[in-house]
Amino acid sequence: MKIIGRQAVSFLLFLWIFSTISFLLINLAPGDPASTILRAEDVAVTQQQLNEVRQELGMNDSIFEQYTAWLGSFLLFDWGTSYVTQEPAFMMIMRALPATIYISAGAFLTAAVIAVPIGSAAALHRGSWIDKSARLLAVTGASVPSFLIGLVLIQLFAVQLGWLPAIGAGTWWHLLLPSLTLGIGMASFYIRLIRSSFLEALEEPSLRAVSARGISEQKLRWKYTFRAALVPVISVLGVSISSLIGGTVVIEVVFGYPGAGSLIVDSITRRDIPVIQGYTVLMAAAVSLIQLSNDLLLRWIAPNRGTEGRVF
Amino acid sequence: MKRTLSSRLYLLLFLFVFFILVLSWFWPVSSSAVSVPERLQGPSAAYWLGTDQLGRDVLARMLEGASYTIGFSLLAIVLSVLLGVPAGILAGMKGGWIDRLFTRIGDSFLAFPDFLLALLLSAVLGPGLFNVVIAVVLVKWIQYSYLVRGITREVTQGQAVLLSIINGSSTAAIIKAHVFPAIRSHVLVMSTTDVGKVMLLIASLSYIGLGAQPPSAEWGAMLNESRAYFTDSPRLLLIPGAAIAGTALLFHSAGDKWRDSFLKEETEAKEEKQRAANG
Repeated sequence: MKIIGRQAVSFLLFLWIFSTISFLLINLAPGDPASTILRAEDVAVTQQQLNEVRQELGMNDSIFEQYTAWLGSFLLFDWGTSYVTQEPAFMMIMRALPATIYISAGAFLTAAVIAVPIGSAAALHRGSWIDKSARLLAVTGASVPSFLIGLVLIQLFAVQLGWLPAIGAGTWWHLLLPSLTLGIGMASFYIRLIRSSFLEALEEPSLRAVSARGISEQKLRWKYTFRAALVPVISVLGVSISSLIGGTVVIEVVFGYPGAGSLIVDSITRRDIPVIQGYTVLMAAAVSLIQLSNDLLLRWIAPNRGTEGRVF
Repeated sequence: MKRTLSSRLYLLLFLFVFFILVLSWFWPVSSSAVSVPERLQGPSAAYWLGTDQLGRDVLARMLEGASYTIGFSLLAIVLSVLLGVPAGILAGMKGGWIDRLFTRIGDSFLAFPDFLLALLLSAVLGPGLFNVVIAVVLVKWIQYSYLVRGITREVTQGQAVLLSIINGSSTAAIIKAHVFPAIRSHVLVMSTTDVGKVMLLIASLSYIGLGAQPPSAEWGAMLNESRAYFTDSPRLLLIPGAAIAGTALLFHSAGDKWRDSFLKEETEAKEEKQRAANG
């Protein structure tokens, strides 16, 4: 219980530091939000208008006053209004997020379908050609950039065969190619992870004991080994989420898929600061929250392992 | 026999990458000279790899791209190592409050996605490769210092270092004689793999328009500029694509191979020690 409290405190501390840094970076950076807003409204900009908008945004206050005002409203999920669409930034992000979660889930599914059989087969036939080719596959998969896989899949299935839509969203078919692309990239990481955790699990003394009790090899393999091998997989969930953030951004741009990733890229090119700020703080919170719950989950599943199972 | 053969192959390939980087400095053909009448030509004596949609020489662009994609990745990792290793040695040797402060801050940032930081920086400073390098260094140096800190602690608590201290060796001498040899191979393995990862990050960010800006011929940016021509001249995508994947594969698999051989050496050395101790 004490550990939970301590971790929760360091989670909040991290979030506070990160959001403050991002606030300072963005507010001290060159560039004038007032002119961004006025340009978005497509009118000739006068000095008076600029001053009015600056006043409205509170840009004439001291940086400290701006910071406390920002922090207060941020905590109440009032993340400011988009400079471009004049919509609340929070709403824009929340509207785009489900689409991103769909392809992330699809990617996890793809990665699991590819990596679990290959990874476990490699571990069970350690040193054989299966193991070697699985390893080659994993290293190669980790080296091909995901946007290239995406481009090739679009060319193959959308342009030449015409089976699937290349870009956009709306139907289940639109989810297929982005999820597949993202999943292939993730699979290479999981193949190695599942292989090594299976190897570790196979050598676990408790499993040897079970085997000595005369439980069939099949049952042993699937029931006990699998459970033991699951622990490291859960423990890197935080890393997976980190890589998914980058992955979804790139893949959504490649497939013109309207999720949070393409929203953030559009916002960066348009210098739409409230949206950028909301997205980055939200993602930082997600990553560290996942890690926090991970630690707790691991303590619950494998109390004697502590945090030793973490890969970093 | 087989082992030395493949390490020679890696050496050769790394020399080739180095050669390409040097070549990109001296290559006489312009990578940005537009010649619309000669656009989308296949390979010829004048243009060894053909021309792109604006009639630019693909070979010259590939060479320029090498200095961006590989050069900036190397820069980012070298900087991370230069920052992270001394910090890790300091935290590992001094212990106490420096170490505690260090682990407290580091813990939170250890799994922090460098991609997110790169996004934030390109929002603040505008898109560019230097911002990607800054983002990578900010995230990676902590990982190196963590690695180094752990090994340093292990080494400095061993008997060999205790003996050196008793014999009056200076801290610098201890670092040189005991800490460096212990961390060298680990840092080498991690940084080799990381160069591959950062290459992919740089190419990806440039592809989505937040890294190198056109007309810079970064490989990911080249793919983006030519993506409409996949059907007509797939060459324009396959050449930079293969270059990215091939170079990343080289770094990844070299890191992989070294990890295996170092780990093997290390366990063998430990077993040797164990045997000697049991005597």
